[in-house]
Amino acid sequence: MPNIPDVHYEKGNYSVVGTKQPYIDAYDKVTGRTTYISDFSLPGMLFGKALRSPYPHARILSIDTSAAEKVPGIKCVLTGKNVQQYKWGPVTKDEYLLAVDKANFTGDEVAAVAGVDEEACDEALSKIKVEYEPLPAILNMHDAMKEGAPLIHEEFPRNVNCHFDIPRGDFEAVAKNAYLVHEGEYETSLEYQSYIEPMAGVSTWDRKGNVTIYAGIQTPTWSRNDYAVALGIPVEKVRIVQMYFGGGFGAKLSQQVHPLGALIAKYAEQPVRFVMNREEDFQCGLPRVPMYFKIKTAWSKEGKYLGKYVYILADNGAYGSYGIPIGLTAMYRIDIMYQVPVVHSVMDLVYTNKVPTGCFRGFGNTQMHLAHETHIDEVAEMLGIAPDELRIRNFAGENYKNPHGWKTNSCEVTKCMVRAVEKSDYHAKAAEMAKENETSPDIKKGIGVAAAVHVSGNRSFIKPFEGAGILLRMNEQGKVYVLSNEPDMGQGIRTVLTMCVAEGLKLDPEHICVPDPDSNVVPFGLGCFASRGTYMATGAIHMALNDMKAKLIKLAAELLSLPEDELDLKDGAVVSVKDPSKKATYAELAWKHVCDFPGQNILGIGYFTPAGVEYPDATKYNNISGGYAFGADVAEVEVNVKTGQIKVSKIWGVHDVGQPMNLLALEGQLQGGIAMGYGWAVMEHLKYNEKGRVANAGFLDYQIPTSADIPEIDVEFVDSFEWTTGFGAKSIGENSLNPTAPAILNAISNAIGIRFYDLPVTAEKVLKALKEKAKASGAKA
Amino acid sequence: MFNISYFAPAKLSEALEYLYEHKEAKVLAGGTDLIAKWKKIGHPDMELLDIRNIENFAEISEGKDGLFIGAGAKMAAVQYNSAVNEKFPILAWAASVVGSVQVRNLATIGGNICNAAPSADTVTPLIVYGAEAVIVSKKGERRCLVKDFFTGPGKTVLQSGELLKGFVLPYPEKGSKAAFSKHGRRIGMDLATVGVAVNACVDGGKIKDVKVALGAVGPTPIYVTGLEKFAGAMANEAAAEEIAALAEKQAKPITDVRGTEEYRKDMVYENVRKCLKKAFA
Repeated sequence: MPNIPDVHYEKGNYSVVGTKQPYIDAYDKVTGRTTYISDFSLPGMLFGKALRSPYPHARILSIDTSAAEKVPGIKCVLTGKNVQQYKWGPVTKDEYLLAVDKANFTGDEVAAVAGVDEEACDEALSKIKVEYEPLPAILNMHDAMKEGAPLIHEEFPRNVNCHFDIPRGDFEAVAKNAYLVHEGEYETSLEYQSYIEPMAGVSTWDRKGNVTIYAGIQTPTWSRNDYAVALGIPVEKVRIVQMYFGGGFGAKLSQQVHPLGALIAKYAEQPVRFVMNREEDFQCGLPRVPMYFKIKTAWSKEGKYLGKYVYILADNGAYGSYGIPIGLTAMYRIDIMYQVPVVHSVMDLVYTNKVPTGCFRGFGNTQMHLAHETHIDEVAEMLGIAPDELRIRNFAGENYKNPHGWKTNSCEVTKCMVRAVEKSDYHAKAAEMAKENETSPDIKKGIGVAAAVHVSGNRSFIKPFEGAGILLRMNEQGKVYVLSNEPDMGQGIRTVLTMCVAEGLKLDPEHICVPDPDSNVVPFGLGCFASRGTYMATGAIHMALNDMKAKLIKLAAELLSLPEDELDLKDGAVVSVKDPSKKATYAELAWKHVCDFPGQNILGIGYFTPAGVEYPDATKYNNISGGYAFGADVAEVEVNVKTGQIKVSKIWGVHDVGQPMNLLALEGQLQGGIAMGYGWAVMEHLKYNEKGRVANAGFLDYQIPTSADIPEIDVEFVDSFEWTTGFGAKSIGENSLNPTAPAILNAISNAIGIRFYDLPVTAEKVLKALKEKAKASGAKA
Repeated sequence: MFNISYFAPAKLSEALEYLYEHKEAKVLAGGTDLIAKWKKIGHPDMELLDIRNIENFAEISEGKDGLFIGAGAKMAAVQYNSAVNEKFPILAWAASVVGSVQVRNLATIGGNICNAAPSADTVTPLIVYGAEAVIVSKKGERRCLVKDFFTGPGKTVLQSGELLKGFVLPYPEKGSKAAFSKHGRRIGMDLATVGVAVNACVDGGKIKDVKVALGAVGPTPIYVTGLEKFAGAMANEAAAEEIAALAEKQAKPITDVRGTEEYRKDMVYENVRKCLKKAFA
């Protein structure tokens, strides 16, 4: 591996980077020209569908497929009994594509069919006879480890997928001498990503046993490994082509739908499209891991944060997915925002007979933020210190090294908080609202703050690898193709990379193309998760652009017989700085190059790995990210005490994202994250009934905010530059969401003097709490 | 594949003849309930009578004895019609909160009533405005107060061969004022957890007449009874609270994924109280 020196990039004099650019693919998307994966067809393609368990936990005694096989138009009927199954999973290998002897949640795949259309498939599914023996089910994570609880996976006694205990110092010793020790319990709910297109893929096999999966996927290259295991074939036989898809928010890393579709296609011996319908996606997607937190903290009288103990119980549902790294993230990521010398985290990740839970924007860190940022507010009240001030007294700054060996580079969290408080006029408003509330019978107003941190890439997945590679190819007309493994799922990396090329090569975006990643073509890479895309890919493209720029200048110097140092790039050409009439356009240089070196394009090669980042050791020590991103929200609420209804009237979000790349997309991402955080706080909840079925598997009763509900949002980015990456950019994707829900909960508490410790805080819950409070104070009086 | 017969006559007589011949036929107006339900129950065979082409079926016209609103009038038409807004403002308001813009551009007021969902938004205003449903069949025409139109969830007084032609809303008495409230979990695109409409006629500070209707808190929309005794009472906060308590008592909500019985009862009280306060003002 090349030695990455102690880099320190400087901010450039940008003309494109940092401006507002509409997505380069927006027009085609909104006019219906874009082909999304659910609409993608191959000649001779069949449709795949799965039969799903109606029970949350049941032994499969027998499956009779004979009637289903006779349905006209049905090509094959597969079960876990007639097709060899392999356990797979991105972290824990605990899931079959088709259940072999036991179904572990309502929706678990029991059989699958391929047919000429969906109706034939539905008919065949209705004719598969499965004999089940229902087993007792675990529907509440707090029951999972109890004595006598049913066992879901034999390899995991007491239903514990993993237990972590990471002590950094002796918390009890610190607590003993502290001025204040506060303990609180918090719980988050099951939340569905609500992307606009359900999980989907189209698979096709060649005669040599190579499979191509056209997929809606965030990790096209890396997921090949998982899918190969699921299919029992070598990884080199799996090709993934990432297609346009309707959002992922984390759910679309490795998914069951792709290898299962591929398995069906293998036996059908024809291409197969497998698209989940929305009800299936609700029941069998990979929603957010619900977590229970017990947090105990120790403080000095002046508000110095002395120590923290955290216990987490995390609900992984029926299968592991990414549960382990999600749980780990919840345990300690927030420790890079506050300077806490002693931190001790313990976590149990347990199985239940519910939908497998996985990645969702924030990756466990969002759950911890809800708990921790509520907890900090409680402490602020106890110490009589303003909540913004208490945070500021303990925030990390540049080059802070925490007890886990993590280290900040750029760090403007204090600036974010100060600016959010200033913009919202937080202190004056808090006083004003308190006064207003005294005389307002129905509406009580409140205001709250919260801070947040996230990574730009998380060095915890693959020991020997972190980073990104970019290959720039200038074709014979001088058009530049960006080959990258950082997929666009709507977050806009395609436009960001286009802007980088436009900036670096002074080229009109019309002459830049960022194709969809195809694992047969693009450089190796991990893909889109951990808010890594912008930080990593712009780091790599910075180097690739320098490489291509040097080549263009060298070629032009030869062609124009001018010294290289007299040449610079301008308007798609290499131009003499002394005499602008002397120039060579990229089109000229590119054509000459393919003629002089027959067929060879001009290439720019770039690779990036974050400096000062290392794979964690056995005790989870070592810095996992080069670009910690920060932010702070202030939320203003009005609570109707007669109905419990919460109106979030305004939210201010101020973030440190390093150097903004596409300011328009950044604002959009931050507004979207805030809207999502708002929904999580007050309405979103995937509910289970007593039979172990999702009770609201549709958008009628799984409610997300509509545009009529979303509060007024004011966003801003503080001046910052992350010196470890070429363009200085950090992330926004996940951190945009992290501070919102706790800021809202803190505002609600400010309004009515009642704290809520579990999500969502619905009108009904608020009214109940208000009644209980009135009853209690009545009883006292 | 799908086995559907489809008939879209331009004349009412043809439609009524068809309904007489085809006892199982489904009436298609906007289709926003019918088609969604048909998909959900697995695309069964269906005979469809499309009433959208029938002459005058979407008309809204001011007659002598009241405003006529055709069963085929779209929610958007009701929402924006000037006569509705002027004389029956809470009906326009209720129409404006049905589903989304796209739904309101398809859905009809007749469909909203005939689908007979207890949560239907436009039902409670029609009830408190004393609207009559105009029902036609081969045998002739009959009328039925909207408050008496519903017999159960999804069930109405319509007999086989009968078609809802529209509604007649008697012009409001001078001094009457109506108020409406849709209590939902969010602002946009939601079904009511509790729906309330009130209409009060106040003269010299005293109640002359008061009507209250409730949605989503029973198997059918509920017309609150026993309010005659408030005639002559002062139109004040105390009366509002008393009527609200009466309404709460008559509400028969269930606990479901949208809300608990207890919360719904509380919201009946609060929303009736709030609406009456407005209507009495």
